[in-house]
Amino acid sequence: MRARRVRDRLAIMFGIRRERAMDSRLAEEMAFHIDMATEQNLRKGMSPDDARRAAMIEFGGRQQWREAARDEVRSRPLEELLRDMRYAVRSLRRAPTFTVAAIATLALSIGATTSIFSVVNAVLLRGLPYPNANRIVALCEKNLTKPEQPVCGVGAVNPGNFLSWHDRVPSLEASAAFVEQRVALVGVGADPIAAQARFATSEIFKVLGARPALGRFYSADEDKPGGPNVLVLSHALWQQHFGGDPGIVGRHVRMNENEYTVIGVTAADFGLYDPVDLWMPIRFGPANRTAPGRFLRAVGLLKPGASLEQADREMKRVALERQREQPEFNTNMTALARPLRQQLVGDSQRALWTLLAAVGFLLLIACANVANLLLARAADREREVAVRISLGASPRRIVRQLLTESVLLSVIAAAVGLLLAVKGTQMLVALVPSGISTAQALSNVSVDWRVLVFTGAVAIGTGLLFGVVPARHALGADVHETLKEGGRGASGVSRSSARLRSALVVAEMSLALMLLAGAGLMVRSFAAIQQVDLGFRPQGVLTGRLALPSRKYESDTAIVQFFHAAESRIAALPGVQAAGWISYLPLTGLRSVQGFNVEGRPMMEASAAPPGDMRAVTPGYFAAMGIPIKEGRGFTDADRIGSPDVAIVSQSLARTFWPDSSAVGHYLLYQWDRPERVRIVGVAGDVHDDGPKAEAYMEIYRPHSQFAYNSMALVVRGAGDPAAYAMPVRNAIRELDRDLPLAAVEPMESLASRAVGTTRLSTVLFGLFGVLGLVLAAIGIYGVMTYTVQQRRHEMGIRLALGASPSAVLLLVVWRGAMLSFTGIAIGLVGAMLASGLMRTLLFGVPPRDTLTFVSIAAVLAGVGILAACVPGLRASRVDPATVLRGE
Amino acid sequence: MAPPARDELLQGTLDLLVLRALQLGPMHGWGITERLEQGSKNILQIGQGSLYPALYRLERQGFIASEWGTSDNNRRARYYELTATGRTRLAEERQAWKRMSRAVELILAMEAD
Repeated sequence: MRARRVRDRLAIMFGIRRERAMDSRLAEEMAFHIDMATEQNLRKGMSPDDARRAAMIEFGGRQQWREAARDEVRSRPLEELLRDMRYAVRSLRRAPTFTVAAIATLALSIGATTSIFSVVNAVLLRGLPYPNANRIVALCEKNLTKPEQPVCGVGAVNPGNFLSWHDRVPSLEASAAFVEQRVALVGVGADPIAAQARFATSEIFKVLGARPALGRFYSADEDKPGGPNVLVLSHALWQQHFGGDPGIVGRHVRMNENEYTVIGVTAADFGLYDPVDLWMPIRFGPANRTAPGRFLRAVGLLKPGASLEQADREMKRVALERQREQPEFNTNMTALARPLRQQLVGDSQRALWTLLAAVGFLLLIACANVANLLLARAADREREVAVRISLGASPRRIVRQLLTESVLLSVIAAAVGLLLAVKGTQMLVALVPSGISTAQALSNVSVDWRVLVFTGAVAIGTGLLFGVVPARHALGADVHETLKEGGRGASGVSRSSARLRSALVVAEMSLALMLLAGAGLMVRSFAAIQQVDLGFRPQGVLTGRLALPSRKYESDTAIVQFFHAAESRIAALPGVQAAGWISYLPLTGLRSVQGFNVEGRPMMEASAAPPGDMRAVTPGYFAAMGIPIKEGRGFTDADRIGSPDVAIVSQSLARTFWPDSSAVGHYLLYQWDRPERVRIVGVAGDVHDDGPKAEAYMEIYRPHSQFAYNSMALVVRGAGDPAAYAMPVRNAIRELDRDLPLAAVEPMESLASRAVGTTRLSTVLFGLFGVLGLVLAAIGIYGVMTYTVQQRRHEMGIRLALGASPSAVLLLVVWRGAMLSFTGIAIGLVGAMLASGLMRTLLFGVPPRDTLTFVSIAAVLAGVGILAACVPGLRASRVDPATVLRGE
Repeated sequence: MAPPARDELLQGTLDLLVLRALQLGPMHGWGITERLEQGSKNILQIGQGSLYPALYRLERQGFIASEWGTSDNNRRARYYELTATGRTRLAEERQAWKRMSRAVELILAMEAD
């Protein structure tokens, strides 16, 4: 019996054979009922036929009640939801102002939240685009005496050390090292192509789990000294310059004066760090095992089951062995393995989570605001709810109805917000750390299922969040009281609703304060960053990069002559004020660091010696870049091969070693391809090579004529728009050698602006969220005070009638509004004090608990709070006592 | 929402009456009609068009439960009985009704000033 009942109920609930079960039950009950009625009629003396007919008539339209009865059962849950939805739509359409205000508020904040989340999703949540992404690690070296140096910078691995890791770290299934270089591809089109080549050991493809789109990758046998000249094209280069030619494999191209065979093409989405155009064997030989110099990056693939910690321990053990084997450049050096994701994401992680938290605050404020609107509406709907309850609607039903309405609101808002997010996300791509290549970033930062699920959850969550309080509240209403009162005057409900609304406004104010405090700190940091003197003047400067093929320009003399000639030609172009060349441009993250000693002081091993940032420059460089020579002289054409070896050092270097005297005339010693001894002839202003946030490095500039590089960056300063010089400069170079392409042509200002791009964007976003939060909070205060004034019109009227001045009434209202603001501000200040420490790493030149920021934000909020209360206050002071007292 | 009752009973009131009728013990639909009509001294005529929907609704809300049983004349019939929540609900509804009717009576008893 019981089991049957359970089954019936289950059938009803889940609709399994529900229709049929219900129909037979209905039919049977109906037949029984009619039979009983017939019997009764028979007892009354009717003929059998009449008795039955009468019973049927009495029973009424069979089909009709059957439908009605079935509806009661069948309607759950979908139809009931639809019915609630229809009801919700109707009731929302009855209050268009409310609906539009609520949807706009929510859509903005849900859109903002979704945009930020899609970046967090792309950078932090979604897997890296490699088959064994969580087994891939970055392998790095670290100088134990310089803990402040960034971990795993570009080009910080020694080839010999890498080869030892490769051979001796058991938990690595594969490992690879690589370095990038600019090359020229000739003979593909009319003009030479400047390409970025990555020279990598053959296991790189195994580590990254790559499959070629065409052909094959190179093998370990090909990656040996004397191996064949082979290269792999990137998908982009193949498309762009070879038109996606399917017969490309086997074709020969000329690169840096050598013939190379194309053996394969990478897949379209394949990449690591910055994008490159070519992949080529690096061809380490026995000499690389012992040679000094750190210029590689390395990655490894953990064996299945091997842990990161295990690999890290083994790396450190091999590093100790290397210290003994090559003490001359490995003293104090250790090695480490870290997850590739950590290496790629780096500092941006903190910024992204902070932004997500900030936008979450905005969403909470929006929820509080909409809850407030709903409460105001609930007051109007008290009667509606009371009537429905008295008509037999169950409380659960009413709550569900009200929640359906709020969730419907938030779902509509989320749909609009999602559209906003699709647009907004495109602007946020700049938040993606540059380590993740641009192509990957663009495809990654998009609305995918995770974002959709997130937005859906946010929509339903916010709907319930801002709906549940007003809904529960509506139920608290005493039905009979409400009906009796006819909805007039301040019932118990509206009094407690007023308290609730005040609490919501206080919460809004405190959230807005925290948000604005964060925004204020970001703005102050950004201002501080903008104040930083980069040490050069990027305005009006055009840059580019040129690499001379070593086959054609074999000797240092040829190289020096070429760049000298190019400098003269370019400097002579009309409008150009100065031109020069440098081995590594500031703000590109590229540098070549070498430990150096000062002659006459205790000597140190190269790896333990202070690091000098070695840059080769031509005489025109300092003027072109706008770097002042503070002491001594700049370089001239007289600094040549054969003339005394000279150097210009930066102020920070000079100050470190000669705080009280001049650096000029002293000698520096360091090891390059041979021991060098150079005389300091000048001191140049400090340059923030790594952007305004980073400390200036100790620079050692050498004349290019004595320190020849075959790949140099061009710096041209001219009047007007720097981009206008691109063509004439290219032509000037082509006149010297028509096979040389000038690459990476870009105004210095755009490099400078990119260096602070992420900070600028997070500042703008934070500021935007802060202002939106402020506006919402102000609307909240305004709403609550307007409502209060409405509720207390009677009291105001009496006060005025008893002789209170309008200004006293105004003050009363404003004071109440101000108290709400002040309470919120006080709570917010405490919250901001506690939370701002989390932003420490995002800030620059301003402490997390910056008094000025906090005080001024609090003052702004207080002012806005008071202003928002003034409007209803004025209205209250203009209440006509006569009208109020007459009772209307 | 349920279709309007053809008789003059408010929907909420019918629920109350059905719960009250079942307080006397489990009964089938026909029996409930009889109990209500007899109990009201034939003032109330319960239309089946609203009784059965009300029964199904109350069952769905968990206030009553039903199972097949045998009627006095040995026929298979669906018997309804009050659940624990139904009993509570009945007490609440009873209270609410008392206040409501008192309010209505007070209003009807109002005299002009």
